[in-house]
Amino acid sequence: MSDAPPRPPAEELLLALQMGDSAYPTGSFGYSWGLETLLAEGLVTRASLPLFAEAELEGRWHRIERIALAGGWRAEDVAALEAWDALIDQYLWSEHQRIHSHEAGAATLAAATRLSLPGAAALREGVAAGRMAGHFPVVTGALYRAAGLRLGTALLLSAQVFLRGLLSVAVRLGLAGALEVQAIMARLVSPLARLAAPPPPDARPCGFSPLTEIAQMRLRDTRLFVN
Amino acid sequence: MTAARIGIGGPVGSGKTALIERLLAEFASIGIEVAVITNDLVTDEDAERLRRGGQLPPERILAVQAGACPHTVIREDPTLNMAAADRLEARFPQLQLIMIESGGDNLASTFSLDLVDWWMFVIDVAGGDDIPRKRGPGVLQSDLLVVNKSDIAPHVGVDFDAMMAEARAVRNGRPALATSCRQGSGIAEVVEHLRREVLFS
Ligand SMILES: Nc1nc2c(ncn2[C@@H]2O[C@H](COP(=O)(O)OP(=O)(O)O)[C@@H](O)[C@H]2O)c(=O)[nH]1
Ligand SMILES: [Mg+2]
Repeated sequence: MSDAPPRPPAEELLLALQMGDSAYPTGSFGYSWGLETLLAEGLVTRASLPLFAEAELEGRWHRIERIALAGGWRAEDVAALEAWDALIDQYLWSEHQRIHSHEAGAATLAAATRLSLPGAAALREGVAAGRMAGHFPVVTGALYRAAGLRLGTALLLSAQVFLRGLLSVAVRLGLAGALEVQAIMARLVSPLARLAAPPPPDARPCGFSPLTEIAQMRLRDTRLFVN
Repeated sequence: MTAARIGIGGPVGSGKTALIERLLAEFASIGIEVAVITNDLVTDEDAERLRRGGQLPPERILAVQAGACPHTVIREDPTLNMAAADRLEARFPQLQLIMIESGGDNLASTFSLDLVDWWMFVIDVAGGDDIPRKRGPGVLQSDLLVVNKSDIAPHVGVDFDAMMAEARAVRNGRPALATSCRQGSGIAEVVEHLRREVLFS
C-alpha cells in the first residue's frame, strides 16, 4: 500500500514484538475459530492438542491465511487491496467464517485507526463505504507492511500470533496448562518457520480443515468465544 | 454527532442488567436514542433478556463474546466493543447514547477510556456491606458508584446508611447513588446524573 522504507533490523524486531504481543489490541482473543466447540465435544483433547495445533497451522494458516495476508501485504494501492479482499471473500465458503473474518478485520481496523497507523484510515473508509469486506488477514497484511515490516517478518508474526491464539483458547477453557502450551509452541518453532515462507504472488487459498470449518458452523448456545 | 459511550461494570448479579432495563424505560419517556452492548460471559442471556423486554428494537442490542476474559474485553483490548459500537452508530446515526454492560467480574475491573467516555460501577447490598471498605479500582475510580438493592438491606443485615456513607468517604467526593431496581427507587437520580454529566441535556 504505502511504501514505508524497511526498518533497520533492530527496529523491525521491536515492532514485530509489539504488534505480535497479546497486549496489542486486535480483538482476536475473542475468537476460537471452532476450537471451543471441538474441545467441548471431545473431538480435540488435551492429548491431541499438539497435533491439532500443527494441523491447523498447516491446513488453515499456511494454506489460507498466509496467502490472504501475503496478498494484503503485496497490494500496491487501495484498489488492488480491495480486489484482493474480494477474491479472498469468495474463497471463504462458510458463511460464519466469512462474517467472523470481516468482524475480526473491523476490530483490528477500529484499533489501528485510533492509533493512527499508516494506511488504517483509508482501509476503514473502504470498509465503511462497502468497497471491501476487510478480511482479517488481508487487513493485517496491509497494516504490517504500512508499519514497515518486511513480508517474511509479517508472515512469521502472523503464524506465531495464530498459534498462540489457538493454544490460549485451550488454556482459558482450562483444558491445557499455561506452561504446557509454551512447550508445544517451542516444539513447533521449526515447522512454523518453514510454513511461513512467502507464497508466490500467483498462489491462491486452497486449504481444507473440515473439523474446524464445520465446528464454526455449529456455534454452541453456551459459549465463551465468538466462534 | 456521535453517541456518548458509557460503561456499566460491577460484580455478577449486582443488578447491571436490571438498571439498564430501568434506564431504558426512562430514556424512552424523555426521547433519548439509545443502544446497548452486552458482554455476557457464556450465553447471550442479558442481550436476549433486553430484547424480550421490548424497550428497544432488537437490532439495537448487540452481544459481544469476551473469550472468557471479561476484564480484557473492556480494558486491555476493547476493540471488539469499539467495533460493535461503530456498527451501531453506522446503522443508527441518530443514537445519543450507547450503554456497554460488562460481563461482570470482581472489584478490580475498570473500563478503558479508549472505549467509553464515562463509566459507572454497580454493587449491591447483598454482596456485603464491606465492599466499599475493600475499595478496589471499580469502587474508587468509576465516575459514578451505584449501590443497588437497597430494598433488601434489612434482610441481609446491612445498615444501608452506614454503607452509603462509607462508599462516599472512600471515593473522595466522587458521586455515589443508592438504587433499588426492584422498587424503582433512585432511578430518577441516576438519569438526572447521566443527563447532566454525559448527555449535557
Ligand atoms: N431485591 C432486589 N433484587 C434485584 C435488584 N436489582 C436486581 N435484582 C435481582 O438480582 C438478580 C441479578 O440482577 P441482574 O440485573 O441480572 O444482575 P447483573 O448480573 O449485574 O446484570 C436478578 O435476580 C434481579 O432480579 C434490586 O434492586 N432489588
Ligand atoms: Mg447482566
